Amino acid sequence: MTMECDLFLARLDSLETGRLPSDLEEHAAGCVSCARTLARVEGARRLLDVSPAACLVDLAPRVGALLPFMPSARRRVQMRDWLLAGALILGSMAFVPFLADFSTLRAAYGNRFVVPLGLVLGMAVTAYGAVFIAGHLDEFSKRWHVGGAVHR
Amino acid sequence: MSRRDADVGDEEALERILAGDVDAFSILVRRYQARILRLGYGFFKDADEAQDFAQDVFLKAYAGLAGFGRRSSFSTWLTRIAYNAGINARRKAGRYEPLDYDPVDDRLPSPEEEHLRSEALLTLRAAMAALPERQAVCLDLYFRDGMKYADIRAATGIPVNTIKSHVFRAKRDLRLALDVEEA
Repeated sequence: MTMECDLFLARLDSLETGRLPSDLEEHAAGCVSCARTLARVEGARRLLDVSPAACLVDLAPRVGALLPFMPSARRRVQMRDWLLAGALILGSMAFVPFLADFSTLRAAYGNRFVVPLGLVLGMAVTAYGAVFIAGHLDEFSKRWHVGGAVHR
Repeated sequence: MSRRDADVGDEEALERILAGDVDAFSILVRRYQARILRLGYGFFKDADEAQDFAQDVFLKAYAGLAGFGRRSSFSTWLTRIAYNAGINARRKAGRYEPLDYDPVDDRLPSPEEEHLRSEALLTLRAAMAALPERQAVCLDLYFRDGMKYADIRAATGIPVNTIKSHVFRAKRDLRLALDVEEA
C-alpha cells in the first residue's frame, strides 16, 4: 500500500456523502486494492439503508384517525404580528391630528367632528382587540394556567 | 405511498395542510415514518412502543405545524421533535441502540450481502457503544437515514465537528473490519 493509498483511504473516511471527488475517482480507477475497499465499504453502507421489516408499518391511517381531535394546523397569524399590527394602527391614529385634512376639517366644522371621528377610531380599535383576543383564547388560557402553576 | 403522493414535495404538502387539507398530512407521515419508527426502536426496543412513539411524534408535529418557521427543512424539524421526545423518554427505555436487521425483502440477500450488512451493523453498534447516548443517535441518522452533518446538527444540537469525528471513526472502523475479514 502506497502513501497515496493511505491518503485515499483517509479522505474516503472523511467524505460527508458517497460522492467521490475526481482525484479520488482517478486513484480508485488505477488501484485495484483501493477500488475493492471502496466497493465493499459503499456496499456495506448501502445495505444499512434497507428498511427493516419492523419499519414497514403504515402509520398514516392511525395518525389520520386522530387528527380530527387535534387543534387545527391551519395557518394563523402569530401573536407577535398581531401586536405589531395593533401598535402600528394605534401609532397611525396618534398621527391623525397632525394630518393636513384634519386641519382642513377642523377649520370648516370646528371641533364637532372630533367626537364622531374618535368614536369610529375607537370602534375600529375595539373590533381589532376583540378579534385578537378571540383568536388567542387558547393561548391566553394556557399562559394563565402556567403562570398560576408557577405562583403556586 | 402512491406515485401521485410521491410527486408532492414537502413544501407543497405543508401548504395544503396549512390551507386546511388534513389528508395531505398522510403524505408526510408515509414519507418519514420509517425514519421515526427506526428512532423509536432505537430508544424503546419494542415494536408497539416504537409505533406509539412515532404516532406521538407525528401528532406533535401536526400540532406545531402552524408555528413551524421553515428555518430548517420539514424532515430536520420532524427529526428534532423525535430526537427530543426520545431523549426525554430515554430514562425509561435505556440506552439508544440501532435496530437489528430483520428485513422482509422481495429477494433473499446473497451470503456476501448478508455478511457486509452484519459487519456494518456490528461496527455501527460498537461505535455507538463508545459514545454518550445523546451522540449515539447521530450515527444512526447519518448511516441509516443518510442525513447530512448540518441537518443532524439542526436536529440534535450536537456540533458538526463532533458529529464529523464520530462518523469518521465509525467509517474507518467499518473499512478496517471489512479489510480484516477479506485478509
